[in-house]
Formats: sequence, structure tokens, C-alpha cells
Amino acid sequence: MAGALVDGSLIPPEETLQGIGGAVTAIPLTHPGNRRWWIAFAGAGALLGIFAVTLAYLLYAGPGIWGNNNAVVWALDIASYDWWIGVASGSLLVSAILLLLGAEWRGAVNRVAETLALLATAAAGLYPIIHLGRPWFFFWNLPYPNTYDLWPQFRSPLLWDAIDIVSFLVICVSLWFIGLLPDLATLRDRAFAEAMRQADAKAPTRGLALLRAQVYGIVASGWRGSAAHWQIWVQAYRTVALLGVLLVVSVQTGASVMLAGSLMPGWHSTLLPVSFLINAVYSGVGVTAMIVMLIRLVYGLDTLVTPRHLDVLGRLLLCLGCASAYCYAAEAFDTFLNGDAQGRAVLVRRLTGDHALVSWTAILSLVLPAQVLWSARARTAPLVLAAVGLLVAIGAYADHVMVLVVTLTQDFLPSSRLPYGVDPWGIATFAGSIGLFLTLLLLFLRYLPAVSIVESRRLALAEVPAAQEAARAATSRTAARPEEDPVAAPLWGVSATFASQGDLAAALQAVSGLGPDHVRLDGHGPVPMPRTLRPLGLEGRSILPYALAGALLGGAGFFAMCVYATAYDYVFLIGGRPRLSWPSFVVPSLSFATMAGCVAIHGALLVLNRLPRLNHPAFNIPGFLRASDDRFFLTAEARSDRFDAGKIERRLTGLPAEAGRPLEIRRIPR
Amino acid sequence: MTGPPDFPALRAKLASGDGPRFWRSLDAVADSPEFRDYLAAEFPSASQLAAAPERRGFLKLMAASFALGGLTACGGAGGRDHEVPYVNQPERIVPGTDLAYASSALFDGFGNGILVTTRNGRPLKIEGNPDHPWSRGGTDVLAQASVLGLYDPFRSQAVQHLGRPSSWAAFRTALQAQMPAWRGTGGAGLALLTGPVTSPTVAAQIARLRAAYPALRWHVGAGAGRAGLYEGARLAYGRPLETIPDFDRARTIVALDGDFLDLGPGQVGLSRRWSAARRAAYAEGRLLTLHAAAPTPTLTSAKADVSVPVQAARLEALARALLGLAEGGAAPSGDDPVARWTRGAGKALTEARGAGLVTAGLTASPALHDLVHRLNGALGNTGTTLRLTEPAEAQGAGTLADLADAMARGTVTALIVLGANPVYEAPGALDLAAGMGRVPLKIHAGLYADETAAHADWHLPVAHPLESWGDVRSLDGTVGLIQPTIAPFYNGRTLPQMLAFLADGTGGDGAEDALGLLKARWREQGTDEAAFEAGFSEALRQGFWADSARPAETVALTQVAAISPYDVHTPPAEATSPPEPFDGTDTPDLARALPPPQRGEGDT
Amino acid sequence: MAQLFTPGADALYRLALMTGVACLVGLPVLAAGIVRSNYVTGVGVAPAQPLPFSHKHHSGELGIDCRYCHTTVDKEATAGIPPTQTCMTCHSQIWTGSDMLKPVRDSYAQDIPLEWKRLNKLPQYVYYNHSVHVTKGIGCSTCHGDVTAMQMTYRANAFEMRFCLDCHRAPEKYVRPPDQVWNMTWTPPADQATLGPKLAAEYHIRGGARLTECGICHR
Repeated sequence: MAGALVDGSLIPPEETLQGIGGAVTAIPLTHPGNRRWWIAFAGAGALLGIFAVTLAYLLYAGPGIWGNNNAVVWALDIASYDWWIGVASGSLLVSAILLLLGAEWRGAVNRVAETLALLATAAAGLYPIIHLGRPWFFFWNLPYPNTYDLWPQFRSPLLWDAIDIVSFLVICVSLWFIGLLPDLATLRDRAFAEAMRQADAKAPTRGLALLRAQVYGIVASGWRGSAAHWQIWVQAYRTVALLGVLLVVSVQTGASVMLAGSLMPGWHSTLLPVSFLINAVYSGVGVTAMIVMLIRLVYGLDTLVTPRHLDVLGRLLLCLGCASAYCYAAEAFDTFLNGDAQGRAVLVRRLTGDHALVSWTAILSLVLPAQVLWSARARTAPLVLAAVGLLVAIGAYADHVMVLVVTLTQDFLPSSRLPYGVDPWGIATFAGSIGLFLTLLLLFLRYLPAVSIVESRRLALAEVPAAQEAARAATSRTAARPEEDPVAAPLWGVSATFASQGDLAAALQAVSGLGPDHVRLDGHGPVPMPRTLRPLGLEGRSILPYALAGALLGGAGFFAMCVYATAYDYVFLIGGRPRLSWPSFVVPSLSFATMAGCVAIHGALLVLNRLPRLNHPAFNIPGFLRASDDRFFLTAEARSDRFDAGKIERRLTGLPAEAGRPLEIRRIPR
Repeated sequence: MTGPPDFPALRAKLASGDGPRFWRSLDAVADSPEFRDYLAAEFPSASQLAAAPERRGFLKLMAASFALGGLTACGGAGGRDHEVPYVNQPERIVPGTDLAYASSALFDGFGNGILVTTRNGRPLKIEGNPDHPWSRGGTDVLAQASVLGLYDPFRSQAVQHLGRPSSWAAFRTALQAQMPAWRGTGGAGLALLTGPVTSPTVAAQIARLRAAYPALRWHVGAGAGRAGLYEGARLAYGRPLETIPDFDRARTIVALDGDFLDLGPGQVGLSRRWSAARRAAYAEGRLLTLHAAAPTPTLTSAKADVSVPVQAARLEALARALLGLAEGGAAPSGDDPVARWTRGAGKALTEARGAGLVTAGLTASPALHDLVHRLNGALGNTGTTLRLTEPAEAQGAGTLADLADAMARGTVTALIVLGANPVYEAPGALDLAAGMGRVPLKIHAGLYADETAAHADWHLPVAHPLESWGDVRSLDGTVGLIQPTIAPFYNGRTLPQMLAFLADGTGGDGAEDALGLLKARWREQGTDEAAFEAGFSEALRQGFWADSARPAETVALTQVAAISPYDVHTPPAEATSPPEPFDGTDTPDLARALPPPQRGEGDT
Repeated sequence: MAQLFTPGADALYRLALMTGVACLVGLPVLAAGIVRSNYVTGVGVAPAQPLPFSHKHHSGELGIDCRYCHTTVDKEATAGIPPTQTCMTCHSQIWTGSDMLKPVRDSYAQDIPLEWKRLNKLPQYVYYNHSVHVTKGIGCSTCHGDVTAMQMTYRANAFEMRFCLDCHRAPEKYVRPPDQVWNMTWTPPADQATLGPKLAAEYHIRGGARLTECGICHR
């Protein structure tokens, strides 16, 4: 889709697999721009300190410190929550949709988007807890076996929200972690190479270097880049992304029905959930654009985040900006055409009342800046994009404040009208949550790859001649010959090294017929290797049944719990609602289903791949570290005594140089 | 404390020694023997600390305080870990259940019947006593809130002498030293100041006191007293009388600044009667109309069917116009609201002769009261829609102004203020605070150590009505009893107890038995002991002495006093002293400025 | 080539993973168990009292009626703890020299009340009225257990909200005929399923929806 839009390439022609890995992993491993990072970290840490102080005072004095009062019970706290969860939803949606559509250029954006989604959810998730008068009882929101014999009220969007946030956090962590897994392996291998180098040189920091490699190794859970791993990984990644898209809708439903489901003027509208969702995605894309530009600038990733990426982001922002403008126009049109007097009054108060400044900030920041992006020059200018992203984020926040405060200061009852003014503590709390977000973001940038290595490599292999050249050159340089290892230890199997996936696939094809009972074949490489699946006999293996079973079981279980609790065990008459209010059970059930599906996918990912394996004979293969870099490996594992290493070696060496002859053949001890 | 400090010595002291020194006063730095003595006398517990202000000792104490403070967390949930039953359970007291006692609430010295609901021995809620013949189950805000006063931690808790804690024994000793001199002079120079007194027991005690010290002067001070009202009755009938309206016999009511629905001693009883009458009239298919003319909006004028704002100075002219109408004169012409109102009210009154009712309020001038009495008389209302009774308030006291006068002249040698706060309440022109400065001995008894206490030598705590024995009359004369609903919190005494001591100068703690004094007052009624006890118990149960309301008096109007409303301010020829400036609120002063009433047949 | 991890690391890692999952499930279960345990609720624990008063002896063996001491149980919100005087009605005549009863005699002679350890305690935000329960067919033993079998008195039930709700949701499971209210060994008869609703109707007990309204207890 993007290809038709832009001129210029997504990746420079001279980029190689090793180069991509080097460029990205250099940030966490050697960390260029250390000084700038520390300055930024100090700033973020200071904000985090403010957060700590604010939370301590909040716990001591209660939510009144925010200036909330009996009428305006929700102000900056819930606006902040809605904003953060909106940013999270938008970022997650960007990442997930790009992944599902198979946009091959997304490597430069998706990791940042996923990280933003995760960190914004963490910041958002705190607000519903701290805005409670007694935050330590937050678990009263959840259905847990209690001695009161009570259930939470499943008909309430407040409960949906609790379930939504927990599910959202699980999905975000999951999507982020699955995407990160192969990159962590790359990091582990590079860190290990560095640790061995330091060990050889008896460098004073060698202990630390080894520890770092081990930490990355533990988190990478023994990822070996096996063809089977990659197969499940691709499926898991896409399925979690699909669940994420569903959950975004569910989360925004919970957050917006909380308002739209009430009778308050200005909230009680069918358009509200739609504009909520659009503004959420809009703010998410805006913040993503801003952060991507920032990382590109700070770490000089111009080669990976190209003008074409900027152009696509710009078009996305423009499109959402127009949708947002449409929502505002439609709301005004609808209210004035057929709204009631109260609704019209709210609209007028938004534009002319005490909080008109907030409203105009929202409308102008959400509608106008994006229109700049009609110009192609503006779209490819990083600073313009970052500025638009920032304004959109500000506008989205102002929009939440406008929607909440203007309605609450004056509803139908004259007796419940109270003025509201923004309190410094409310601002401090929000600034503090930004501090939390930034601190975590900086830590992420410091220790984890900011751009997806795998996705960039896939892109390089698909588009860049240099990467293919390098592979071809490597093949032609070497003559394959089994190296005689004087190993006395029992044999684990035979390994062969290749420069490309094509060679590996051909070699696998060649040896696949050799005694399938006592040889177990596998391929290893730095990118997913769909062409090796047929020779390995793994075709048709799918994670989908597990995901489906998990989601269906979880969703049905939760739905059944809602029905049992509300209709049978805890009968409670609320405003004449029916005992079996099934439509309201759908939203939390859906959220819970996505979470259960996600957990099932994780389980399947680990179990089907027999992970975690920190220590594996494959790691004994000399040069296996390059399996996460630019080499492809064939392993033939001995399953019985009848395993004949020589036969396999002969078969491999016999292959033609262009069609699968290995660079190297080794016998690997157990 | 000990003269100007010796600065060079202080500087030398501060300069010597190592490290910074901390002090709270220059005396502390000087650390002179005088300062040590003063500290030992004033803060005995602190003198040791001051003597050795060492860091370790301080830290030890603070650490111990913190540690012991932590122990407070070790207790159970609000002391609910134990069940403590009675040893001998009193009859009718069931822990955790309500028990109500009949008592009386005070308002400006007048009583209303109340029921005090207690739980576990603590009074918690006050409601009206439905059996009480005057208040008929009603209460006002002050009665309802008086339970808060009982628990007020700022209530006076101890006898104070010159602002320092003292004791009743010390007070008694000090007074007993004075008393022979008082007896010798017959109490000359003694002045007693109280609030309005309706309590028969207090009145009897005051009478005893005055018998013991014939030269004692008794004064009554009240914020909005009834002196003007009584003076008006004196003008009309030759003696002070209370006017009790019978709304249920009336067909129309005209209030000339009448405030019978407003806060005051009569509010509870009168508003009940008025609303009952109004409802009864409605049931009969008619309206008990209320015409109100008042200078300021009041509850009464707000409730009126026809109300008009009238300047206070015009009220008497209005009354005269109505009087003219009643006597067959012409209705006032004019199209202003007041004239229209007057025509309407006059028409209603003349159409309901003998069943109309004209009222005037507490703040109205005696002349207006006089005119209203005459208006009611002319309309034939007196005796039918309103009863005139002997005042519930004990008569015969001087005014605050008299007292201020006497104090200014220096003729008061001892001032006893019982249950009043004149320094705060009296008009500023009287300057009682300065006057008290000229009195050698000032004794103040009150619920609070208030402004008057600050100017007094002795301050004595008075027991709260909810913790004391007593009696009080309602507006119609019904005697309500006051009984304690809880043991006294502090060391307060009741007014009869104090008066009893002042009268004879004897009596220890036990002899000043409040219940005994109360019973003694009523035993005079003369029946045998058992019958009295039975009657007294029944009265306590009911909360009042049955049928003790004042009977209606037979009265006749004096000759019409030819006072123009504008003559009020002209001093009469025989007045010896120039009158106090009349500010319209201080009716007692006005009463003093009036010519002596002409005597009529009704005055015997 | 060297391995980054030793072979044992795998086992450790998997153990750590499983422990994490087990804790995720196990710790809440453990916490829930502790909250419900007699250690926290105090059920079945007989604390030391000023004197070892035995309900089993007085009420079970001698047959003294509950209301002899707890005089207001069928009239007031509180059941009433007997004053020392009540003890002395008998013990001024019998066991007058007993050492065990010395605290009672001392209390009576010195006018110092006995301080009993409180066994049954409801939070202060719960309104509870003994008389309405007793007069509407809820027996003593339903809440307090078979007191006549208790040598030393202990808390028979943890008065958690679910305990109250269990009956408030279905009072017909527990109502007794009026003459059975004081029966400490009452168990639901075989025909409770038919008798219960009938009795509930006779007592005018409005069950379920009404009795589970928040304001019934949290006033």
C-alpha cells in the first residue's frame, strides 16, 4: 500500500543484515549519546520524583487535592486516564494494523508504537487506582472470592474498565515481548560475543559483560531462531495483534460508555464512542510520530526511518485529523439540529463558558495542525511531524478535560452545580505520570532495541540488493568440507552453515529423506524461513486452535460468571435492569477472552517450541552466534544409534554450490 | 518579670559555652533564681527539664513519647474488646436503649417543656414534651442545640480567681470573710445581677437574699427583655401584665410588629397555637387572616396574608388610626400601601369585634403596647381572644442602666453576676466593663468563662441545665421542672445553690443540695411528706407542675394617657436625671424616660 | 563453542517460571485462606474470662433459660449482659464460699463491674437487633452455636457478611417455630422445605429482595 504513495526507498540499498543488527544493537550495547541520555533521564527522574511526592500526598490527603468536588468528581484524573489509554490504544492499533496488513516497512515504527502502548497503559492503569478514595482496596473492583458474599456489578462500565485495563496490559506486554523476542536473542548473541572477547582480553569488565549477556539470554528464553520457532512466532505475533485490535475497540467502549451510558448532557450521545475511538487513535499516532522523530533525531537512525516512513505517518495523521474534524462537526450539527436544550447548552458552554480555553485548545489542536500535512514537504519534515504529533496529543488531552469538566460543573440539577478550577496537584500528578512514562521509555531505549531488527532484516532481504549480494558472495568464497573435529564426547548431530535461506532450504530438501526416524532436522536463521517448512514437514502447523480455544474458553467462562453472579447468586435490582443483562456482559467478556487467548498463545509459543531452553546443544555449533545475524544453519540431530553422520555430510557436500552447498560442516558433541 | 534584663551579662552568658544555645525568653537565658522559683511555681513538671536541659534527656523523653504513642495502636477497635455490665442494674436503664426524661429548656429565662432522650446514660437528643401545656410538644432551635452545649469542651470547668484555677472551698472562705461586714451594713453596696428570673426557686432564693441583706440591689439584664411590654401594660392597666393570645377564639389577627412566630420565649407555644387555630379555621371553611405591619421582615410578617413594611416610628400612628376606626372614626384616606393595609386591617377588626386580636412584639415601645391594649379593649377582644395574666417573670428588679449608674457613682462595693454576661450583652453606651473596674469585688457565675468573667475577680462555673435540678416558668406561668439527665461533667453549681450560700454563708458541699432546695421551695405549698413526694414524682415524670399556669386577671383600662408618640422623647419635668439616648432597642431605658403611670381602678 | 548457560540453568529457569505461576495462583489462595481461618476470625477460641463461667453448666445442665440473664434479648437490640447482681441472686445462697466465685463476690461487694472479654463483635457500621431476630423465629443457636455444650464460651461463627447474607437471602432455611427458638440443639426438621416458607409467611418475613437491601443492616 505504501509503495504506491511515495518515491524513495524504505531502506538504503547498501544495507546488510549484519549492518542492521549492528546499527540497532549498538544503541543498547555501546550506547552512543550517553550524555544526552543521562540529561533526559535526569529530567524524567525528576518528574518521577514529583509523581512520588504527589502520590504520597494523595494517599495522605485524598483525591480532594486535585480540586475535584462533589459535582466535578472526575476531572484531570480521569482525563489523564482517558488520554493515556487513548494514546495506548492508538499506538497499539497502529502497530497491530501495520502488522496485520503486512506492511513490510513497519519495522521502523512498530517497536516504538508497541512500547508506547505498553508504557502508556502502565501510566493509564495507575489512574483508576489512585483516583479511588482508598486505593488499597482497588481489588474490590475485581471478582474475587470474598467473605462479604458479594460480586462486583458486571453491568457497570466501571467494572468493564477494570477488566479492560488488566487485559490491555497483558496484550500490550505480550505483543511487545513477542516482537522483541528474536531481537533479544540478537542482543544476547552480540553481548555474548563481546563478553567472550573481553574474557579473552582479560578485560576488567568481563564479569559484567557476561552478566549482561546472561540477562539478555534469560529474557530471550533460549530463542535459537529455529525454523519451527519462527513459524510459531510469526503466527503468534499476528494473532496477538489481531486480539489487540479487538481489545482496543473493547477498551474504548468501556471508557466511552462510562460517559455515553449516563444521562448527563453532552455525554449521552451515540456519537461519543466513535469520536472517543477516533481521537484515541489520533492521539496515539500523534505521540508515536513524535517519539519516532525524537528517537530518529537523537540516535541518528535516518537510514532505518526514512522519509518514506515519515510520509506514511504524515498521511495517517492527516486522515485521522480529517476524521476528528468530521466528528466535531457532526457533533455540533447533530446537537443543534436535534439535540435537547440541555445538550445545546452544554455545547454552548464548552465554547463560551468558564472552560472555553480548554475547548478551543482541543478543537484547534486536533483539527488545524494536521491540515499542514496536505503539503508533501511538511509530511517529510521530521520537525513538522513531531510538532503536529505534540499538538494532537495536547488537543486530545484538552478534549477529555472539556468533555468531563464542562458537563460535570453543570448538569440538570441546579443544586449539584459547582465550579471547578484546575489544581496544581492535578497537573503535578499528570506531569508525574509523564515522568513515569519517560523514565520507562528512556530505560527501554537504553537497554532494548528501539527498532525491530527482524522486521528491518526481512525488509532488507526482500528489497535490498546488498543483502542478497553478501549472501551470494559468501557462498562462492567457500568450499564446503566437513571439518574433522577430534571430539571424544558423544555426538549430538551434524551442523551445516549457509549464507542464505534458499541454500538452507535446498540442503534441507536434499537431506530430508535420510532416515526420518533417527534424524531430526531443523533450520536456524535470523529471519523467518517459510521456505524451509516444507522440507522440514512443518507445513500446516498452526497456533490458531490454541488461541481460539483459549479465547473462547476465557470469554465463555467470564460470560458465564457474569450471568451466574448477576442473575442467580447476587440478585440486585438496579434501576429496573433485567437480571440477565447480557449485552453489558459482552464487553468485559470480550476483553477477558482476548486476555485468555493471549495467555494461551504464550503457552503455545513456549510449549510448541519446547522453550525455554537456555542451554541447548545447538549453541555448541561453532559460530552459531551468527544464526541471529547473517548465517543460516542446518542441524541434523541424532535420535538413535542408527544415526549416520557421514552419510549426511556426504549428501551435503555433494550439493552444487548454487543450490545448497554449505559453507561449513561440523559434527557437534552433545 | 524581674525588671529589665542585664544585657551585658546575658551576652556574656550566650557567648560562653560551646555550640549554639536555645532559649524561650531572656529570663530563661539569665536563669536567675527568681526565674527558677517562678518556673517551679508555674510549671512544676517543666522546672526539672529547665534545670537540666540536656540533649540526652530530651531525646530520651521524646523517644519514650514516640514509643508510648505507638502503644495506642495496640488497643482493640474503639475499646469494644470488653463487655462491662452493671454491678447493680438500675431499674429501667437498659444498655443500648433509649430512655427519655421530661425536663425544661430555657430561653431568656423562660421555659419550654422538653423530652431529653438518653442512651447509656448520655443525653443525645432533645424534642418537645407533648404533654406540656404551654409548649405542646414543640421546641426551638436553641433547645434542640442545647445538648451540644452540654458536651462543649469550652464550657467553664473550674472556679477561677483572678484568672487562675481555684476551688469552691477557697471561694467560700473568701466570701465568708466578707459576709459579716455585709450583714453589718445590711448589704449596702451589694449588687446582684441576673438574667430574667421566672424560676420560683430562684425567685424565692433572691427574696431570701434580699431579706438577709435589705440594702442589696437586684438588677436584671436581658438582651431583649420584656420590660417594655410590662411597662405598656402598666400604662394601660396600671400594673405589669402578660398578654396571652387565644388564637382559636379569633377570627382575624392584626400584628403591629407582633413577633409571636419569631424566636423568643413565646415562639414555641404561640406558633403551635396559631397554626392549630389556623388549621381549625380552615377545617371550618374560613381563613384566620393575619395582617402584619412591621419595620423589618419577620417570620410573622412572612406568614401574614396581608403584610406591609412600616417604619417603626409610624407604628403608633397606625395604632391610633386603627383605634380611631374601632371607635367609629373614618378610615384613613390615601392610596399608599400602608393606608390600604390599615383600611383592610381596620375593616377586618371592626367586622370581628370580640373575635379579633391585635398584638405587638417584644421590641415595640411601651406606648405602642399601651395603644394595642386600648385597641383590644375598644374592640372587646380583651378577655375573649386574649388573656391578661400576672407576668411569669419575677418583678421588682432594677435595670442594667441603674446598675451602670451605681457603678459609675462608685456606690457598688460588691457585684454578683449570676448566669449573665453583661459586659458582652449590654449596650456599649453603658460601658459596664469600665464600671466593673470601679467595683472592689466582682463575682461572676456562668456556663462559660466569658467577657464578664474576664473582668471579674471570681468566676464560678454554672451547671448546664441538662445536669442540674431546677424549675422555670413558661410564658403562661406553667412551672416546668428541670432534672439532670447525667451526672455533672465539671464542678458546676446551680443558681439556687449559689444563692443559698450567698444568703446564709454556711453550708458545705453536701448542704447545697440542689434537689433539696427545689423540694424545699415546693414543700411550702403545705401537704404532708408522702403526698408531696408522690406529687413531686408525678410532676417530675410529667416535667411540670400540673395546672400551674397563671389565671387570667380581671383588668380595667386606665384613663387614656394623652401621650403622643412623638412626646416619648421629651423628658418629663420631674425627671431628676437626663434620660439615656433612646436607640429604639433598649426598651428598659425608654421605660425610665416615661412619665409615671396614672393609677386606675385595676391597680390595687 | 562455549554455552552461555550451564545445563542446570534450564532446570532453574523452568523452576523459577513454575514458581512464579504457582505464586500467582497460590498467594491469593493462601491469603484468602488466612482471612477465613480461625486464627483471624477467632471462631472456636475461648479466651480467659474474669471467672470461668460455664454456659454448659448453667444453661445446659441446670436448665436456666437464656432470658434469665440476657433479659432484653427478645425486647431490645442488645441481648444484655447480666449485672453482677443477677449472679448473686443464686450465689448469695449457694457456693457462697467457692474460690471460683470470688471475683463475683468482690465485684458485688466493692461495686466494681466484671469485665468480660467480648466474643461477638459486629463492625460499628452494622445495625443489628436481637429482638427482631428472636421474635421472628431465628434461634439463639443459629448464630451462637450450641452454647449449652460450651464449657467455656467461644465464638461459634465468624460474623462475616456472608454469614448474615446466607440467612437473609433465604430466611426460610433457618426459621423455627416460636417454641423452638430457645432450643440449642435444634436442627432443621425433615419438612423444613415446606415448614420454612409457611413460618416465614406467619412471621411476615419478607425474604430475599427486601432483606438483602443494603440499608437493612448498613443504616
